[in-house]
Amino acid sequence: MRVDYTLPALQPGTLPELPSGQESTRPFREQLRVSAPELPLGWEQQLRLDARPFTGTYIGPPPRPQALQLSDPETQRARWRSMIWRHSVALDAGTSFGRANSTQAIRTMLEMLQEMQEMEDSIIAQQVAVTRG
Amino acid sequence: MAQLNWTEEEIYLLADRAYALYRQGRYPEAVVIFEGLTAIEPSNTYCRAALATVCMSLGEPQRAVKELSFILN
Repeated sequence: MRVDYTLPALQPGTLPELPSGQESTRPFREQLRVSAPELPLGWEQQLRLDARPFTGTYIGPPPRPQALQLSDPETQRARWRSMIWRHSVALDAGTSFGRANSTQAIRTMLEMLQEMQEMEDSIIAQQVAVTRG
Repeated sequence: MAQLNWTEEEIYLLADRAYALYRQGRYPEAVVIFEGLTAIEPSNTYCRAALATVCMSLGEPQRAVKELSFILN
């Protein structure tokens, strides 16, 4: 008994006919340009992490002002610290405008940011101390 | 309109920090910043909608509705 192990779909068929006429006479460089292979997707696209979920518990990043120029992290950190300090002083001095409720909300926010800043400073100080030995 | 001594860049930096906290799942901290931002600039649609979203994440749908109603009104 003879068993044919060749799968029909994998049988070597005849080669596809080459295009005739002008297609075959085109230079190789142009033929490369014609075929536009799809670029591999990044892992975020493959996992669909870039897609916005259709739920009410999702927000995107805030719209960035066009005039904003982000500098190096050191300058940004100094700018952030200056911003918190300046507005805290202004709020204490009573130069801010607004109702009592809104002032309280801003004060709470600034106090929390100050605490976070102090924690960040202490972590950086520890890192510097460890690095210097 | 924002309070006079807050610039657009500063509001963006704060909103970006709040967004980062939200992404980390630190919703109570994000709410504090978004509340402050809506106090600074009540007509800021992004901050108001973000505050509503974080309220939803915290299980406070009534408050989320209130914030979103402010935008619609």
